[in-house]
Amino acid sequence: MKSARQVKRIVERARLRADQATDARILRDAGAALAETADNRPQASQPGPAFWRTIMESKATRYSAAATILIAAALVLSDPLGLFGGRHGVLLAETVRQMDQVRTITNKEKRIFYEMGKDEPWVKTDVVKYVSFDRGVVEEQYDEAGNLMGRAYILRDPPQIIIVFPQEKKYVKLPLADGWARVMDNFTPKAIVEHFKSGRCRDLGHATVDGYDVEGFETNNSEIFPIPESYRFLFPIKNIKWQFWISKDTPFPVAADLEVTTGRGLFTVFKELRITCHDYDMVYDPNIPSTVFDPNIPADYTPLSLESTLKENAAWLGVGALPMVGIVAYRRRHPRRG
Amino acid sequence: MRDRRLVHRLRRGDVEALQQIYHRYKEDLLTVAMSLLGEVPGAEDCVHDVFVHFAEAPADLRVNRNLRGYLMRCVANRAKNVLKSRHRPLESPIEEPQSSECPVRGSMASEASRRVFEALAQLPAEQREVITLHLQGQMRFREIAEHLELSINTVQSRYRYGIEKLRTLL
Repeated sequence: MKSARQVKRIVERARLRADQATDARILRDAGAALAETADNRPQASQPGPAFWRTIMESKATRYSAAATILIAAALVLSDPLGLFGGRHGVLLAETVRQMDQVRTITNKEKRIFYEMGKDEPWVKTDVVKYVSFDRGVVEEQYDEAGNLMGRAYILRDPPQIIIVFPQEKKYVKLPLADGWARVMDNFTPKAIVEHFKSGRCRDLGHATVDGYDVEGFETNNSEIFPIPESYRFLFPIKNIKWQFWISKDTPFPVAADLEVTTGRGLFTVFKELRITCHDYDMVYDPNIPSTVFDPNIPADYTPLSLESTLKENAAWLGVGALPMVGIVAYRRRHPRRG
Repeated sequence: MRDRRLVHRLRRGDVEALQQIYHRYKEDLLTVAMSLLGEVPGAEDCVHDVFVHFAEAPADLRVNRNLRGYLMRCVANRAKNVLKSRHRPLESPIEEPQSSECPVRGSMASEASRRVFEALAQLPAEQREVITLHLQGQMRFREIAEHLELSINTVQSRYRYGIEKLRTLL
C-alpha cells in the first residue's frame, strides 16, 4: 500500500489535457461572448485602452491628415450638419410642423478646413449627404479634383459607423457606441424643435442666399451637439456658430452655414482648426434608394488595422504619446510622498 | 503577465487576455472538472461554460487576488450544478471508455492519470471534492472551508479519510 505522501503526489500529477478542438471551441465561444459584451457595454464604462484601440483601428487613423479629418467630419460634423440643414428652421411654427413630417433629406455641402490663424485653406472638400431619419446618414466626401475620398455611413440599425476609403481600398467598421447614439438622438425632429424652442436663436432678418429670399437665424452655442466628455479629446470643439436660412416661400430651410472652431485633438491631427461649411441644394423628402444606406464594401477592401495605423501615424502620435507615457511611468515608480 | 493585469485587460474586452488566461489555467481546470465529474465531455463542457460566463461579465469579476482560485471555485460550482441537474449521484463510477484505442474522447489523459480519476470517482463526493480542490486545485484548506461553508476541521478530516481510501485504491 502506498503512503499518504505518495498518494498525494500521484493525485497531484494527474492531468487532463485539452485537445486542439476543445481549445478552439472554448476560445471561440468565450471570445464571442466577450466581443458581444464589449459591444453592448455602455460607453461610460468602457475604460481607456479598449477605447483607444477602437479609435486607433478606426477613426483617428488615416494615412493623411485630410483623411483623418474626413473621419472626424463624418462623425462629428456630418450628422449635425445634415440634420441641421434640414431641421433647424424650427422657430417658425409652420416650419416646425412641416419639418416634423419630413423623413428624408439630401443636400450638398462645401466644407473648408483652415488652420487657425491662416487664411489659406488647408483642405477643401465637396460633400453630398443623404439623410434618412429611419436609416441614418450617408456622406460622400470628394476632393477638389472630384475624386471620392471616402463614404461614411452612420447607421441607426444596426447602430454602426462604416467608412470606406476607395482610393486606399480600406474600410473602418465599428459599432455606434452609446455616446454617439445619444448624440444622434439629439437630432431627431423632436429634440431639435425643443432646442430651438428654448429661444437661443437670434433673428438675422431677411436676406438673399443662393438666390432664395430667406429669413436667417443664428445660434452660437454648441450645446445641441453635446459630445460626450470622454470623446472630447478627439475633436475638442470650442464653438459652433450656426446660421440657417428659411425660405420665405416655403417653410423649409434652403441653406445653412456653420463655423466650427476646435482645439487640438486626435481627429484634428493636433491642429487648431476652423471649419466652415455651407449646406445648399436641400431637397426634402426625396426618394432615396434604400441601397444608398447599404454599405457597399468590395471584397478586396481590407479593414484599417491597428498595425497599419500605428505604423502610419507613429510619428505624429509619438510626439504626444511618448512624453506622457514617460511621465506616467516615472510617477508610478516615484510616487509622491507625504 | 500577472493575473491582475490580465483581468484588467479582459475587463476592457481584450480577447488576447482571455486567451492567455485560458491557456494558463485550462489544464488545471479541466483536471479538476474531470475529477469532479468523472467524464471528459462533461469536464470540457464545464470548463467551456465557466469561460463563456467569465467572458460574458468581465466587468463584474470579483477577482482581487487569486484568479486561479476564483476559476477553481467556478468550476467546482459548475460541476456541482451539472451533477445536480443530472440527478446523478456523485459516487457513481467513472464512465468506461467506449474504445480501448481511445481511452478518453477529446481531451487526453495518460494511463496513470486515468487510474487516478477512476479512483477519485470511487470516493464519497465530499471527500473527492476536498481532495480535488486541495491537491489539484491547489486551494488551501481554509479556502476550501470558506468555499464549502464548512469548518476547517471538517474539511481536513474529509481530506484525511479520502486519502486513506485512495491508498487502498491506487
